[in-house]
Amino acid sequence: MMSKLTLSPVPHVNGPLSLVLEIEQGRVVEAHIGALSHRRLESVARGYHVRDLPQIARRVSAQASFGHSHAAMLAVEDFADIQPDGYTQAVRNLLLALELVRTHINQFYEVYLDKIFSLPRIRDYEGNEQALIEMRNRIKYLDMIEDTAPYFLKSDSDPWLIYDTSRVVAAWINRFRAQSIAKLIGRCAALLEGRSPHGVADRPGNFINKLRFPEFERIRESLSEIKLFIDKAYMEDMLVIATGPLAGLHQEKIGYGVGNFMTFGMFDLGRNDGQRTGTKRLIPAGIVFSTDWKDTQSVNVKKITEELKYSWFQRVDGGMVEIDLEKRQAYSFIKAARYQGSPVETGPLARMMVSSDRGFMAILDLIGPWPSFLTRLIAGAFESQQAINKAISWTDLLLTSRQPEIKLVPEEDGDGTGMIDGPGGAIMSRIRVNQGRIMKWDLLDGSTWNVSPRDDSMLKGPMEQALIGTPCEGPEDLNSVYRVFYSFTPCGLSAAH
Amino acid sequence: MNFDLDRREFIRYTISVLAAFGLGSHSINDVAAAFERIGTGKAPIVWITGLYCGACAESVANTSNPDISSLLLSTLSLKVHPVYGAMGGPGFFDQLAKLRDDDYILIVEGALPEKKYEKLLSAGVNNDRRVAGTGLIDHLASRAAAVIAVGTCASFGGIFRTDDVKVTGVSEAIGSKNIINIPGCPPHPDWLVLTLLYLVMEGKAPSIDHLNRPKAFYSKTVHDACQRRLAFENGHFVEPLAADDGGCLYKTGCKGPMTFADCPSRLWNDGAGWCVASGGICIGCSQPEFMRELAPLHLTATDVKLPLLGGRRAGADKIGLGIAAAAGSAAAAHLVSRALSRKPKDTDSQTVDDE
Repeated sequence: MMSKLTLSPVPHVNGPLSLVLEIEQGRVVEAHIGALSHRRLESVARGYHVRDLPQIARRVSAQASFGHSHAAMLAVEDFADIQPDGYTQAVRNLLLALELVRTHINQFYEVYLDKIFSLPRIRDYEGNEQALIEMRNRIKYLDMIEDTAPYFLKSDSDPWLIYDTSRVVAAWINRFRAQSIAKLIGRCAALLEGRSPHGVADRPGNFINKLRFPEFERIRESLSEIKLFIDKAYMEDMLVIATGPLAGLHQEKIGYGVGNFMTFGMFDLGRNDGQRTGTKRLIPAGIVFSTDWKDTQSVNVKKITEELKYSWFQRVDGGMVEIDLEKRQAYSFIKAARYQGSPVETGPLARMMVSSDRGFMAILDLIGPWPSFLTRLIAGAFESQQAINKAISWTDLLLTSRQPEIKLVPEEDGDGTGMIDGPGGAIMSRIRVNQGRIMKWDLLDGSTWNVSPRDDSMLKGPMEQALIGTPCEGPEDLNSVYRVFYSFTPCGLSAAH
Repeated sequence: MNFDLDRREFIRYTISVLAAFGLGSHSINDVAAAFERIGTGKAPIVWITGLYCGACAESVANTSNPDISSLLLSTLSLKVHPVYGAMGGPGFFDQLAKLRDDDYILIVEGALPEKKYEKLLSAGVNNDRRVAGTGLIDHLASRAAAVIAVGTCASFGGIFRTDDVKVTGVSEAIGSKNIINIPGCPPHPDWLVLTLLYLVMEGKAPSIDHLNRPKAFYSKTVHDACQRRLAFENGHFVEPLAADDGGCLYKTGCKGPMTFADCPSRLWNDGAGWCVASGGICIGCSQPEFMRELAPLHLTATDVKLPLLGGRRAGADKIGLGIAAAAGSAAAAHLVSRALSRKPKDTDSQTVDDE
């Protein structure tokens, strides 16, 4: 007996999304994911001075504020033929690392935690730690007046949850620590670019802020604290999960997805000789098909397409895309981004797959070497740990004295492309410029790939595909659906922009 | 992580802030009692989004005294929120249906599209039909005890305004004048949290200006209290394309003289910094003109509409005068205009005109 389930808005995600599932014999057999709002940011940018693009791009999404600004800066620098110096790249890498860590920590502790631990079980705490007693009483009280929605929904019958009280208490403690860490990350970003979110020190060309020694020291100290949290709390929680009940769902390959993975690379390390836009990256760009990570191919921008059949858009004269709000078969404001006609997944797991990270692959060998919701979570934690270690080494560059060379962005005609990963996946920012003004801005976000709807040949988007086969008995049994859904760190705002 | 201690400290802090607004008569017990009232669900918070980017909510999550967990666990009964609310689908609409008239505070984040394009913004799907966001907000606003538009988008339309589709702030979209605007892209967490506390404590809106902004946060320009103000007075300016040597950033495009907000004294992210301290300019993000009429951001503002001067447009040389006049201080006007004319290097020749 088949049943249909509509969930909209989807909770814990920015930008209203709709999730429509068809369920048969306790499994998801069909899935449609649509974005229900569209801000027309590409149209908004039209007519602005090209130097304003990074600030506009920040407003794509607060979750990836710097990631979008970063891709926009690269696009403008490509247009203006400006090469940022090593100092600037270090600052950007640092900001990107901070954003990446914050995204993963927020997603894990704010969104995912109650899909792993039975959080209401803190009511069974019988220790004598005063702070925990206080918390237990507070949660019990909120549970009594049915006001726990920000923290958890009642879900006491899920066999995949961890019920052990001591584990649950540890999870609560780490959750509150994670909130302080997220704030600490905001403070580091504010020291570098004024405030967080939406800092203002980003500009195409070189970073000009003079970081004084006390600020430098504060950043160093904060990074050590963040590192400690990742090493001692986040990674250990990940170990608990990888060896806990959820490993059983991984064995069933729940959340496998499309098996194609792409990254545009991350963390610029310097110029590649002779290429205008080519830079060496810590995580190199690449694409892998059919989970064959021994065969990494290079990314060719010409193979990227956006298909519109199921989106509220139409192509008009000159290749421009406009909204078509009355389109019948459409169900999303997200365009179906495809590579060589195939849906591809981007994000942390893609970065790990493409770079065949040895440490990550070793973990994969232990739990089963295939993609799943669980491997996405582990990839996020793993790359957070790597990023924070690198970030600490990048700070050393911030005390080197240098005279920044600041170049004018010419008010000419031309175009530029910036391609780099943000925390949620591969971002491409393309501009066409007329006398220094933006004529056309094309944006593809990591979530545009992952949350995309069906394409012209009816192929499902990566998240839609990943949901197929997920256990679900009905509207009261959505935890595993959410496990797959949130493992992609989706952002409805970035995806539809 | 001692909530009890956090709470006591927070209450003390709140009293000091309220005292600074000229509301010094509250005892610790008054404030504690007010929190108990809203902690038991008597004044629920409903956070609904329009065309938004999420930065307002993320900024508020950076709040200190109280931090966000204390707020959610002890203070606010957050019924609906895109990220912090765990309710989705039917549960989302059930929560809204359960609300009682005049018993909740509605917070709107994001701008709203005109009726003709209402399909650009749906709040979700209820009974197989898309629910128009603007209609939902209109309905919720008409029943709320108070409505707060958080961020420049919800206040004035903000960055998502375009030429072809009319996108406005909440007040204009639903034709209501009784909305408290907390502009900023994003706003400082204090601006919202303290306004919320005031509403709960006093049962009425704080004193607001003609743009419905709480006067406590928006009555002075960024330029007024800027840490680089002395450099400005001395005619020491950072030139366009020159390295930051601590001078005034006006000539690199700073919008501080025409932006009303208390960032320089309040500071961001627990005092870590603020835009001008970092060598970035004030981009005028709390202004109704943000961002189109203030762009290009890196150019000296030469022709800017000043809302407090009845929409009169002012050139660079008039800006100091205009702002000072708005603040009602002839002496300040004199200082500002003198600073602009007493410079080691010529400023006006550096002014690049907007196209």
